[in-house]
Amino acid sequence: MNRHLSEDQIARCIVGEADSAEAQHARECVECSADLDRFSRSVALFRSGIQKQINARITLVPTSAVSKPSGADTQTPRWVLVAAAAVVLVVLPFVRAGNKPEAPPEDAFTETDPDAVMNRINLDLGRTVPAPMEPLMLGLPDLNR
Amino acid sequence: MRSATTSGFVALHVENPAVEFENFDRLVEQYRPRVLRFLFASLRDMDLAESLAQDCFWNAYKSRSTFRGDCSVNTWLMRIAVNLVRNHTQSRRFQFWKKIQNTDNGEMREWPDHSVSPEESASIRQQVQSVWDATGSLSNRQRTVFLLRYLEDLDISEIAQTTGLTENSVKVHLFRAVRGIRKRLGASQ
Repeated sequence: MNRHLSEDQIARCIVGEADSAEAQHARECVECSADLDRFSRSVALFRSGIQKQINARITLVPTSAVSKPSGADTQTPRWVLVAAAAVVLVVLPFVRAGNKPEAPPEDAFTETDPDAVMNRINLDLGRTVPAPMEPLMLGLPDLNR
Repeated sequence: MRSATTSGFVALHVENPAVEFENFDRLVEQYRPRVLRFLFASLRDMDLAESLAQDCFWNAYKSRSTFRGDCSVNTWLMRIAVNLVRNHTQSRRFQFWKKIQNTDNGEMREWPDHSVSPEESASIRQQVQSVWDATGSLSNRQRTVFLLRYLEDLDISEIAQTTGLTENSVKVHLFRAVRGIRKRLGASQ
């Protein structure tokens, strides 16, 4: 092979698909091997250049800062959280009302002693006003005096 | 247990896949640079790459029970990353912004290299920018195959596993990608 390698042949040499004659020419021809070296050097510089940028980025933003998923993946859980919060706010009052034990009336009989019960009944019958109104009566002037 | 051919990483076909995910934080720390590198070179946007890298690990974590260990973790993660890139670049929103911006190349940020002279540094920067621009002109599939081969150093069978293409198809895309990049580099020089 006396002529220099064509562009297609050079490309085949670069990707490792050259036949034996092309490979031999690439080894022996100064011009063609220099052409291949130039390309290899350009690609190596390209790789090195990108690697430097990546190294700078890794230094700037350490891996620990990016371990969480990006916003696109967290959107769904965020919506779920918002919906769950809304449901809790709506349902909570009903749940609390349903679980609240009924308070016994203030005047409910709790005594078991029959004498105590009779005393309480007598006290209630002897009131001039109902028990809840007694505090109001304290503020009024005594008309009987 | 047999080793894969991926260089720079001890990529093993594991006998007990669950072991790989016992310490997921460590796994993220180990593979994040690779995943981020591929996503950045594919999407040409560091913030977007970071976001998709998180999605990649999140998806991996969610589907870790489906990892059977028939490929390396690196290949498995790259497969997820490739799918994310494909889904994203096919989205209407991405197409819209790509059209609005009228460019998908962006620029490589400058980096100081004090070990070389300013002239040499400028030359290196120009070469890197040329390859960066050239990869931007490739089709998505060609770019993915090219990056997996020359940036991530995967071999043809690993690229086939990662992309779901046949090995012959990978070779064809790789050949076209290299030819396209050389054409662009030749035009820029």
